Amino acid sequence: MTGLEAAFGYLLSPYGLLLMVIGTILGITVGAVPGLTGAMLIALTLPLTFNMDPVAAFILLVSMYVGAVSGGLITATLLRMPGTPASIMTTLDGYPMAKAGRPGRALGLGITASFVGGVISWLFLISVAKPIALYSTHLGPFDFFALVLLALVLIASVGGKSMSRSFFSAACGIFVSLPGVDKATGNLRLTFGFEELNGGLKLLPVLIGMFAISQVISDISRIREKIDVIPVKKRRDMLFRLEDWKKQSMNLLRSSVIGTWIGILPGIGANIGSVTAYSAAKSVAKPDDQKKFGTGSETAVVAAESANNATIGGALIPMIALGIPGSVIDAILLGALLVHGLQPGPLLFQQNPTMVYTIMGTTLVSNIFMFAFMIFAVKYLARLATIPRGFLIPVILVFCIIGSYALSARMFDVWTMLIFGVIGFGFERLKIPLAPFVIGFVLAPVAEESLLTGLMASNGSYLPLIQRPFSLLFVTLSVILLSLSIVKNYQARVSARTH
Amino acid sequence: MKYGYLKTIWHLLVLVFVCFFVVQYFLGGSGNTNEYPSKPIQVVVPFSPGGGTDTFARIIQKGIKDNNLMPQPLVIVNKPGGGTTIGSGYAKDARNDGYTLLCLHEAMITAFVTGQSPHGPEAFESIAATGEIIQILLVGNDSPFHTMDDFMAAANAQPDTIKVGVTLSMPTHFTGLMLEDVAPGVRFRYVSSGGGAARLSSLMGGHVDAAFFSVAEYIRFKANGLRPLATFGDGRHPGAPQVPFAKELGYEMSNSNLQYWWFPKDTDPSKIAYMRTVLEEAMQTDYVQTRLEELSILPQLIVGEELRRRIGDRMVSFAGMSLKQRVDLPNVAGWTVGAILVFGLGILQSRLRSPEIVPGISDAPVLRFDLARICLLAAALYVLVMALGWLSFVWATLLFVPFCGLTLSGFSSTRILYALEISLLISFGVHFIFTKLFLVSLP
Repeated sequence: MTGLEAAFGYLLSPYGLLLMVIGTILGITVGAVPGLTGAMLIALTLPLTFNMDPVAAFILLVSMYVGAVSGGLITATLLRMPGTPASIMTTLDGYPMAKAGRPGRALGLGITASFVGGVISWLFLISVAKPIALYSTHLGPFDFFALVLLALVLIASVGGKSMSRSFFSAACGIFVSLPGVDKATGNLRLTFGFEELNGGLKLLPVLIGMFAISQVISDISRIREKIDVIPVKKRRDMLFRLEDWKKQSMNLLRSSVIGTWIGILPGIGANIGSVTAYSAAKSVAKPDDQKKFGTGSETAVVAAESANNATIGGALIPMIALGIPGSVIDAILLGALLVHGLQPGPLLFQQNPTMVYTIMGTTLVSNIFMFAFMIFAVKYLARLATIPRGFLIPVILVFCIIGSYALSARMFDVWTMLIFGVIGFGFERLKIPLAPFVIGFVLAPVAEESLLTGLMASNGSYLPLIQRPFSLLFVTLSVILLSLSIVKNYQARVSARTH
Repeated sequence: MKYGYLKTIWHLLVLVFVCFFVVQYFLGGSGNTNEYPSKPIQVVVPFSPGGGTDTFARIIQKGIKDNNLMPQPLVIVNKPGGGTTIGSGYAKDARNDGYTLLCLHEAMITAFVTGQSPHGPEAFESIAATGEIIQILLVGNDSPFHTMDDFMAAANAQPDTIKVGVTLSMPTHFTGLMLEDVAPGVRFRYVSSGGGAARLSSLMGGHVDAAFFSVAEYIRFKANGLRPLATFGDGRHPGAPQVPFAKELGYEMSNSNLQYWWFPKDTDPSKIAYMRTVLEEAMQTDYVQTRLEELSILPQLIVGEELRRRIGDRMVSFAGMSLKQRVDLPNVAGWTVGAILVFGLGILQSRLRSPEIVPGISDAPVLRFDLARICLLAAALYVLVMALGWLSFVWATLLFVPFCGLTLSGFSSTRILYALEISLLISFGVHFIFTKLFLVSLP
């Protein structure tokens, strides 16, 4: 267990703690400002970590992840604006509570629930990741291909409202991953004569564009909107009382486990986790409590917030163990691992145990920081939402531009980023979800490479896809899910027409 | 004005920081001599940080710096991707003023002869070849193949069935092809299996029967239960002396990877000679020697006529190999475009059938797309100015930030001060943080 000791030595050193404090606070801050997201922050910080020690870099990035998912609840509760997509469900009940004069109570419930969710999913992370990683050497190329297929079907059928929009988005993401060297032949394809495209479109410029720039564009277009913040007065009712623990412990546990498992599923992240936990909590609630959902239910806030934080630990599991990101932020973290020359998967545990335990340790310790910081600073954090965005936006633009440039010191990446910003904004206007695009973009190379490798090994036969137990399982699951959601879609359409 | 004093503190802080950053910025630009090298020399590494070539280049960099072999340091710039063509393309097009070096191994030649790269060694000036990496063929401990002869006999008896993990079109692939060449009847089934760690996990999982690695990788991964069959150098490797080499076993071939150093075409010969001497001296330093031994890299050094001959020989021997794909593979690009069209049409159709009432927009305030357009145009202009080299980052930012800021928040005299402060902080501050603290280059 030398890796564990080394990791904790690093984590608890003054430098490690400092990075974690910086990361968590920045994450919370970004989460608390509507229009800034965790994905944006992490993507923009990544270039700065190139010359840092990889372990230090991950302490910073993972604590930002934890902070960003948590910080969203502040604006969700006080402004009815989800600071991050993960806290959409919190707005439904947190804001009514705040309006009814109990903002401190709503925030307190959310903060404690976030903390508990984080800790429970952390327990899963430390116990499940290693066995999965070790077992994953048995997964062959066809199994990986089927797993990616399942991920794409999952995100398209569960993630969005319209399946054709989700699949369209995923297909666009896959297409964008294609230019560059053809994995099978080693020849160039779809580069249209641009030598800069030989290496394909890079993850970071595309993501910064799709998420940060498109967000900036929509922020600018709403710049004249007025923001009213409900002030928080009493800090006393923010802490959980004994009766709260009694009342909410089952809810906390259930929602956190749901969040963790949703997080593990490749491709779908915190928002779906909290939606699922919210519905589950609603369906098991007592009738009189059920009625309160949507009008300021404490149970609902607890369910939504514990689940969205629980997805962090869950989503890190496939990222570390298989190299398949569980969410958009994990896709960026995966890129960060590769930039630092580390190959996720079973060998990461063997070759770089320090890194694995650092990621795990950071998830726990930054959760503690998050809790402490949020409880103490929530009053002031709420004011962040009112800082003048007129000057924030050009600064973000500058950071987006140098962030894409710093990756490999070429302007081509900056142009890529700007173009994808416009595309991302267009997607949002047309109500095409962005997440399938990112997952398609990130996973397509994995899928393509595993399929081609599999075909080379099987001499061109597709049969192993249904002969190997795991790929058979994944393929079957994909088919079932797909047909289920097609049927559901069709029924919805029919009933919409008859009414 | 309860918070009036806060404003004063803010203005003072800004003043202090801006002064500090500005001083730092102008200090950095001092020092001008005509002697070569008068500024740091960029070393382009066409791989990610942490890879073999990157590690190697950093060893040489440290060897030069620690022993004061040059008045200026080498600065490593990683430009991965495109099967090394991104990095080599960048170096090829760089100014041949002696301040851009490329460190790239045999892939310079393999990428060219396979058509992956439009440029080959002819587009560069070779300086030296340093450090030789020897490949080794490995199987798992539970494999039926105990010797190289077992392995080759099986590949001969059942051609096209033994799965060998390689990186397609890269030196490992060529080693396999060379083996097929010297042992008629032998045919492997090549399986693309990524690099280093990824290839190890496919060997361990039984997804390939054997795979090529570097000796250094073998030593690092040995504990996982690996059996070496042969190395492919011109003698036994000191890092794995128990393993026979191919020629010893009667297979008349050898293939190794040398790290070559290149300048852009037509670089001044005196600069090439200078760099060659520096590299020669660096290879002799204790630090480099020890580190290379640790990594099982042979401290080879080839320069001058011998180097040119070696590159020529390699071009001929690689060009003779046929890399034809042996399996029919699906047309991924075609399928994807098909999917986009199908789903795109689906969306179009559903929009036409039920023209949605634009939801919720009616009660929202007017969206200011005009501002968005102005800011995006300004951003594009900002990038363009830097891309063309008209203004450097600091000066371009100094113009861009206040312009956008004032456009967005509305023009007023009090805001000008803030605009100025923020733009000074961002331009000089970011320049300081990126280039001085984190050593990341800016336009």
